[in-house]
Amino acid sequence: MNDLAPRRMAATTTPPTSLGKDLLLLLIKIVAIATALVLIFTLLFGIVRYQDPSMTPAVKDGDLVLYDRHARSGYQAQDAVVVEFEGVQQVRRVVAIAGDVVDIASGGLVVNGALQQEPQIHEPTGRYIGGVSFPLTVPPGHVFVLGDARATATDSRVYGCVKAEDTLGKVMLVIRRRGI
Amino acid sequence: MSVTARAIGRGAITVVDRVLNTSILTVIVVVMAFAGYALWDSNQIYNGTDKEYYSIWKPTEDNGRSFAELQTINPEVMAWLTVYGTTIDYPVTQGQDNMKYINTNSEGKYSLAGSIFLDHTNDPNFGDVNSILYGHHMEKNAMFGEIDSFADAGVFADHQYGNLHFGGQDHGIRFVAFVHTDAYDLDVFTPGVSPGKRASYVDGLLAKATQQRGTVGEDDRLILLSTCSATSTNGRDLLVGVIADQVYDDPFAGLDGDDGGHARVDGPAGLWLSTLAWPLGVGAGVIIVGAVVGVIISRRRRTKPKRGMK
Repeated sequence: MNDLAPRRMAATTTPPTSLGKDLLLLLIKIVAIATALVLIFTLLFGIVRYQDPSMTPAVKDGDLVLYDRHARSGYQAQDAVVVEFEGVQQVRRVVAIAGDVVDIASGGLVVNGALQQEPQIHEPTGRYIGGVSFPLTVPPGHVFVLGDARATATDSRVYGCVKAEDTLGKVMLVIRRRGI
Repeated sequence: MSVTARAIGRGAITVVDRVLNTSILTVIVVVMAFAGYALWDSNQIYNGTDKEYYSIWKPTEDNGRSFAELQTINPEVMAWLTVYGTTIDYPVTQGQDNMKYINTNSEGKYSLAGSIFLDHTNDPNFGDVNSILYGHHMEKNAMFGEIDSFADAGVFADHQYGNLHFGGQDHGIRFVAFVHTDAYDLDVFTPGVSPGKRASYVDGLLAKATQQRGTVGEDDRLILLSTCSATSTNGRDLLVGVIADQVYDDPFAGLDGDDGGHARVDGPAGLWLSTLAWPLGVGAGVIIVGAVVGVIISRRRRTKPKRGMK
């Protein structure tokens, strides 16, 4: 409130150029902020509105998923990652890393010869007709990812092992406002 | 341009400018608040895993009274494990199943860090051929977070003994091997093997050892300290010891510091640091942007009175 008086005075007595100059400064400020935001979300993080049921219940339709683009090396099993398949960004869970042998048997997911106990998974894990063939060994620098909704998810059973470099990042924050 | 039009224009610029400043400030405050929460939340996980937290209940030579108090609070506490020269100095529990103490502390309360627990099928008096203790592999060397360092020959050589207090008395532990394997490896994860299968079990276990020292006698009871390993899918690190009749002195006792004051391996960066580096980085970035914006604003303001005086 203190600065109201000089401001008003300035407004009434400034030469014509200063208004344009103020406008320019405001625009520069807006551009600077926009640039900072764009840089943060293209270089550091990514954000995606998740839109399919393949990761239920960990990640659901409508969730906003923030991922770290710089965590793409050193994935471990159980990490949730973002991959893009046929133009759609999807969240998937790493179940095996380089060197692991993955198989899908009648009982479900088998990693390194052991049927996995997966208390968070509520659907049976099967193979897809026309999908990749099992058993397979995850090549160096790759990960094998599955959706938590095993019955319907499009995942490494369809598109095979994913190069860690080709993933978009590791999920670091999920914001949900419905279906909680 | 008329004076009124200019005044309206300036008013509009001022309004937009203020809205912008307020928005940026709000975002900064929200991000900082969330980063603060994340820091606090990560720290909460480790609260109660610090060995100092449990030390009040540790059985002492004079009496086991304080330990008995802990057992009154939670009757499923049945032993106390110490690995000399490490942060492993915790009560041991045994539940009805192997799920409960994954996220229940030794006071019986919910805790993400859980507690050190004996396999539910094992004899609580450690009379089995092999007893398996489980504990989380955590940052800051909490719970069994330090087990993986025994993969190093130097650490393995420097830390040979421990203590297991059960049945009202102390029992020594002599560590004989370090093993890295898979959680589904039933050649290792079969608690309480029958005496007939003892030889093949021990041979199989030692064949997998990456560090080994001494031998396992025919009457020796094994104790396996198992924890998760991040180096492979379903990886497990195990420190294998023999429960001895004699009690070993703590070679690290009396040295400066709670952990014996010896040199330590360089652990990975703490969990809170690695997970918060990015939010903090962004916070700093936003602050820098805010500072730049602030400078622009203050410069603009500074030029105004001059214009007014003309």
